[in-house]
Amino acid sequence: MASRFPVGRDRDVVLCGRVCLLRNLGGTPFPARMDAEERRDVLKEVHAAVFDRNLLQGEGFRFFVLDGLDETKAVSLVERGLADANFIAEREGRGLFVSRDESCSILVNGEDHVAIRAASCGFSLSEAFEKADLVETVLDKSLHFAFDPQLGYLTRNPAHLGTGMIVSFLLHLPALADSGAVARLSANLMRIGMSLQNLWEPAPETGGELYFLVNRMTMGLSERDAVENLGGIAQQVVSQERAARKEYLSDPASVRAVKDAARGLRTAERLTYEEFLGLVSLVRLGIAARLISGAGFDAVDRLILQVRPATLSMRCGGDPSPEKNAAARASAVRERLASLTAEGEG
Amino acid sequence: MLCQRCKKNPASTYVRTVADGKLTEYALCAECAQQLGCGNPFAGLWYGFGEISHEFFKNKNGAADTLRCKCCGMSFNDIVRSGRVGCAECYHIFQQKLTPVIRQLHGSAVHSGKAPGADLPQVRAVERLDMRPPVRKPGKPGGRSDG
Repeated sequence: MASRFPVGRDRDVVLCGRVCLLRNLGGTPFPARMDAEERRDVLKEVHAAVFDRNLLQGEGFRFFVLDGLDETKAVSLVERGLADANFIAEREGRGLFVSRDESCSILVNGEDHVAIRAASCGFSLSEAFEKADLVETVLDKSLHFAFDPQLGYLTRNPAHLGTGMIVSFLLHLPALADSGAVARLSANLMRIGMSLQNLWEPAPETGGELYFLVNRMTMGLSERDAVENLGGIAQQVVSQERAARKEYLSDPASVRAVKDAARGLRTAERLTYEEFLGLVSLVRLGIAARLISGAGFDAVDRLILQVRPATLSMRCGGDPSPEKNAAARASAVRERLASLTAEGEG
Repeated sequence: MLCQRCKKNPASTYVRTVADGKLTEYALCAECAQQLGCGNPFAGLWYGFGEISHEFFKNKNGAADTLRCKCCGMSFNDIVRSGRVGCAECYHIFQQKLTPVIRQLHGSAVHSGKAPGADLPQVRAVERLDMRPPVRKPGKPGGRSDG
C-alpha cells in the first residue's frame, strides 16, 4: 500500500516528522495588522510566486481560499495536519496551498505571512526538509523574505526569530504514558528548549497516547543542528519507550488487552473517535511487539487521520449525526483492518 | 475564569483548537500558554519588571512613549503587551528597546542558519538506531566525528 508521505524508520514509535518554516514580507504589516483587502493582495503575490515560475509544478499544489470555506472542510484541514486551528478560526483573506500528496502545505496570512509545512513518515526529517527548503527557496526568489543578519528571519512572534523553523516528531508513547514518565520527561525537555506535549492539547485528553516532541530553539543554532538535536533526543525517547513497552507487556493482562483491542477494531459496529484511539493505540503496540499481524503501521496511521470526525464527515458526503459518524467509522475500520489477527487466533 | 488546562491559575490567553470535529476555544493561564508555545514570550519579563514597568515605556525625556512604527502603527507598549511584533520594520524602529528583550528570550546568540539566497543545509541521514554506547576512537581525543 502506498504511503501518504515519504517513509522513514522506527515506525513503532515515530509516526511522522514535521518541519515548519515561518517567513514574512518586508515593508508591509504582518497579517494581524492588515485589513482583508491587504491580505488578499499578499495572497495574490504568494499565489503568483507559487504558480508563475512552474518551479513547483512537481508538487502539484492546489490552492484554497479560506473565505467562505465551510467549517467541516476547514476543520478537516486541521485534522489532516495541513493547517492549525488558529489559522482556520478567522478565514477572511487567508489562503492555503496543499501539495498533491498532502505532505506539504503553505499557509498564507496566518500569524506570519507565509508558513511552509512539510511532513515525512517515521524517523526521518530529511525529505520534509528538502521539500520545505525547495518551496522556501523558490518563493524567496520573488517574495524576498524579511531578514536581518543578526536576528535571522523576522517573525511576528519574537520567540521564533533566527531560523524561523519549528521541527517536531509525532510519537506514540503508550508505555511511558502508562508509567507516568511523560510528565517528568516533559519537564526535563522544557529546560533544553524542547517540549513534549499531547497531540490534543489543550483540549481534554482524547486518548491514543500521541505526543509531539518539538524543538523551540530557533536562534544561534543552524537548521541542521536543530534537527540533529531533536533527532538525538527523539532517539532517547524512542529507546525509553521501547524499554517501557517490554515492562508493560510482561503483564499478561496487558497482552490480553492488546489482543482484545484487535478483535474490538475488527468487529466494532460503532466507534467514537475516542474509542477508536484507545483501541488503535493498543493495536499499534501489538503490531510492534508482533502480537498482532495482518496490518502495518502505514495502514493504521492513515486510519488515525482518515477517521477523525470532520474528515470522516466529509468522506461521508455531509455532516452526519454522531451516531452515523460512529457507524461509518466502525465500517471504515472493519474494511481496512479486516485481516487484523491477534497471536493465537485462527 | 480559571485556566482550562491546569485549573489552578487565572486564564489570560485564549487559543483555538479542534476537538470532536469542531473548532473550540480554550482559556489558558500564562504558564500553560507558554508551555504550549502560544504564550506571550515577554510574559516573564513583564512580571519581572514589576514596578519599573512604567519606566520601561518612557522615552529619555521622561514622557510616556508614543513612538509608533510608521509601517504598522504599533508602539513598543503594544508589542510587549501582545507579545507579538507588528511588522518586520518594528525590529529596526524599536531595536534599542527590543534588543535586551530578545537577549532574555534567546541569550546572546545571533542567527547562524540559512540566509536568503542560500540553500537550507542538508540534513545528514540518520542511520538505524544504535543502542550501544559510543566507542571512543583512539587518536581523536574529544574530537567530533562528522563521518
